[in-house]
Amino acid sequence: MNHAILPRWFRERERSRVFTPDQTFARRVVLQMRPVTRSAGLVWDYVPSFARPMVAATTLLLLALISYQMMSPTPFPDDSSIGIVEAYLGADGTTVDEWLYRGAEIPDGQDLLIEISVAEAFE
Amino acid sequence: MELDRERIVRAKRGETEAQEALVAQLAPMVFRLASRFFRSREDVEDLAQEAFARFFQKIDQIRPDENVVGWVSRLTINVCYDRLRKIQRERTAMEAYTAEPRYAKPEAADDAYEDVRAALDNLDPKLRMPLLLKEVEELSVKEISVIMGLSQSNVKIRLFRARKKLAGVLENRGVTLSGVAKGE
Repeated sequence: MNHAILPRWFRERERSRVFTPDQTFARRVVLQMRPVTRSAGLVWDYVPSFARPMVAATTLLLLALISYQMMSPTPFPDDSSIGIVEAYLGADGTTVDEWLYRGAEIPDGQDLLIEISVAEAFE
Repeated sequence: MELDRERIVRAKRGETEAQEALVAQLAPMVFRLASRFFRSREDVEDLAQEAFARFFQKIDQIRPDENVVGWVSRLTINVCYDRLRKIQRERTAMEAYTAEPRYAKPEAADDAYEDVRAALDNLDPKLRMPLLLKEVEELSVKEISVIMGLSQSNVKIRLFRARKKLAGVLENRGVTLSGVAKGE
């Protein structure tokens, strides 16, 4: 039993109204597709979109730090026991800085008081 | 339609020649489906391109035993549905700001055809699509359910509603189906 509501002449006319792809369609589709296929293997594509700004900012910060380190006048200390802060302070540090950051021997009693008052007087 | 499995594997690997051959083989079917829902060549071609873009984005998900033709049909129907919904939303928004009548009578020579066509265009896509697939493409309820990702009973309900609504719309336009159905 046919329940069709659309008249037969309409259905036939609609059936004959079919567009067909031209000769260049397949080539155009593939050409359009190419950039998508090429970038599919990049690491960036695997980073979820919500995390991309954070990853980009972190990468930029890291790159900036690395380039600063490379161009900084303060070289990395050769001695592995001296950290970057110690190396930075080492250039013009006070006696107190020496005690605090470089593990220098602290004098006892009266001598310590004299050393501190001398250091404060110079600051 | 039988597809060469080897060609699909090569297309997955990104071989341009295989991808092109696959598009050439599937394009007539995609164009035919899109022609059911869109009236201009530009729209149909644009939709087909979008369908193939989605196809190649998801080509890695195709299993070896997958019915690729069915898969592409579903994809095309989804792309058509998305586009029709977008058009419907835009039209609704336009109508909210203009005083244009919803069913403006087209100034075409073939009034009966344009009447039915316009009535169909104004049906909700979720009703129009199964109706056209059933009555014009002559697909079975089962085939429509597979292609649209619906249950068979849902397809039947949509077909019933589509027919009822279309009859109502045509009646509102002053066109009775017996009057439209020339030669029937």
